[in-house]
This record gives sequence, C-alpha cells and structure tokens, in this order.
Amino acid sequence: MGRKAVNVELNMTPFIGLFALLVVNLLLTAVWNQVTALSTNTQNSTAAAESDPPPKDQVNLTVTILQSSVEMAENSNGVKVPHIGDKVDAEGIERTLSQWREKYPKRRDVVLNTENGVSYKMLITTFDTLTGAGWYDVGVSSQ
Amino acid sequence: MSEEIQSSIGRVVRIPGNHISPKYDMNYLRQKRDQGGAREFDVVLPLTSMIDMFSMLVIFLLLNFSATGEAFFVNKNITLPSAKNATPIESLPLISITEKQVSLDSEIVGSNPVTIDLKDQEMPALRASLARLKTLIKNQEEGGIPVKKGINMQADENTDVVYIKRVMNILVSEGFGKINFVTREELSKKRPGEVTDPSSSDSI
Repeated sequence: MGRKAVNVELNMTPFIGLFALLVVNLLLTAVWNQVTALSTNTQNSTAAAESDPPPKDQVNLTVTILQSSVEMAENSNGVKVPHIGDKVDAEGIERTLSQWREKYPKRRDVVLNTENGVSYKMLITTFDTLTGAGWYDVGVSSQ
Repeated sequence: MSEEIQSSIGRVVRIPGNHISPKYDMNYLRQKRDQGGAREFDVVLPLTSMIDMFSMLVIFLLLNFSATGEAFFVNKNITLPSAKNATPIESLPLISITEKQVSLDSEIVGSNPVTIDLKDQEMPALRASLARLKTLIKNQEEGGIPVKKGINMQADENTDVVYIKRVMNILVSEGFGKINFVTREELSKKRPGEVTDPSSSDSI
C-alpha cells in the first residue's frame, strides 16, 4: 500500500500560453500571396547607342510572339509554334529550345519580341518557358 | 440510495431508499438540500480539443512563414499572370498598369500614387517621376547609401502588350533598363540538380 501515485496531471496553462503567442506571431508574418518576378534587362534588346554590336558570326536567337503563333528564329531561319487556343504552346517552345540548346550549349541569351495585340499573359508564359529551359538572359524588346 | 446491513443471522438486509422506485429518488436534489444550497465552482474545461486546434494552426502558419520581411501590395484590379520559374521579388519602385491608368508608387511622392492617363503617349508625368527617382538614387549613392536598382512592373494578365511596351520604352529612355515583371508563383516540380537563375546585372 506504499505505492507512489503514477497518475500525473500536466499543467497545460503555459503550453496554451505559448501556443497563443506563437499563433499571433505567425499570423503577423504569414505570407498569403506568393509574389515573384521575372527579371529582364531591356538595354540589351533596344537600339541603345551605348550597347556594343554583337560579333559578326553570332547567331541572333529571337522569339516573337504573334497573335496566332510563336516564331522562333535563328537569324532568318524561323520555326512557327502555333498557339493552343488562346494560350501559348509551352511544350512546343520547349522542344525547339532543346534543339537550340544542342546547337548552342553555351548560349543563355535570347531576344523576346511581341506583336501588338498579344496579351501580357502570353508574354509572361513565354518568358517563363524560356527561363525554365535555361535561357536566363531574356531581353524583352520594347519595339 | 439503499444501504446494505449484514444481520446477525447472516442475511443481508437492505434499508429501502427515499422512494419505492429508485427512478423517482431525486438524489441530486436531496444532496443539494443537505449541502445548504451551495454551488460548486470547480469547473473542468476540456482542453484536449483546444490544444489540437492550436497545434494545427501553428503547423499551418509555420508553412506560410516568411522571414524576408518585405511587403508587396498587389493592386486589387489586377490579376497577375502565373510563372513557375520566377525569382523572389525585391522591394523596388512599382509601376502598376491597370485598365484605365498607370501608377508609380515611389518614396518620392510618399503615399500618393502618381497617375498617368493611359491615352497619353508620351507620359510626361511618368517621365517627371522617373527623373525625380533618378535624382534620389543618385543622391543616395553619393551619400554612400546602398541602393537597389530596378523597377517592378505589374499588370493584369489580359492587358495588351502595347501598353506594357509603351511604359518600357519610357523606362529605358529614362535609364531604367532593369525591369522586373511581377508574377504569381505557380508551384512546379524542379528537376534534380537544376540550378535557378543568377541575378542579372544592374543597368543604371
């Protein structure tokens, strides 16, 4: 009959106080909108007087977003990737970009042109596809 | 409640309770009456469910925690386009292009946005604000204060790019070549070993 009591009641008050403080602190620092950005350096893509002319033998890689398709050109040789409905065919663009990657493994720069009338969403989708395929230096043309 | 008594002859004698049928004994009322009507103030709160709720809340909010501390305000009239490969946004002057106007939120003008008419091709108000911003940046650099260079630009996803290009032309002509297009993050599976984009160089 001299056994110790094994039933122990934990004091929950400080535990609840800690949780309440944590919840308030985390509510104030929570991020509800994940906002990111696609960065471009337009100086390289406009007719700026200070920019150096590219080497003569360098191929100009340009992606032009038209209202019905995306034209991907190496100098004057172009490939058209038609849109799917009102959206850009990202997979088609990626296929062409993988061919470019095989031809130009060290290149990271590409110029992105847009036709008037194209939506901003198409521009961002194409820009995003280029960045995702490893073409980090995307110059968005403002012409 | 009936009591049991052991009698001398070994038989159990039960003293009957207050009522023939135990159902109508009203023991609780009799107990209250005998105690003098005093109420019990010891109330035990069931805390298990409360702790469960707090645990779930803490775990959920920990997942949404951000340590960068930089706030960014999205215009309520704008639906941002989504992007999978964008980089975290920096706190820079913001140009918002909505259906009716272009606005520049900058520290120069305090909390009042500069609004420019969308029909205006030259946008002198925007040029003036950008010139002031350049002066401020130059003064800060001369004072030895590190300055982040660039402009954030946000627009609704259905905006025609002609409006975007018009603003970009003005930005480039004023010397703001580094433009960040604000997007909404779209979660994607990254391939193993894939390296994210290094930041581009400043242009001003």
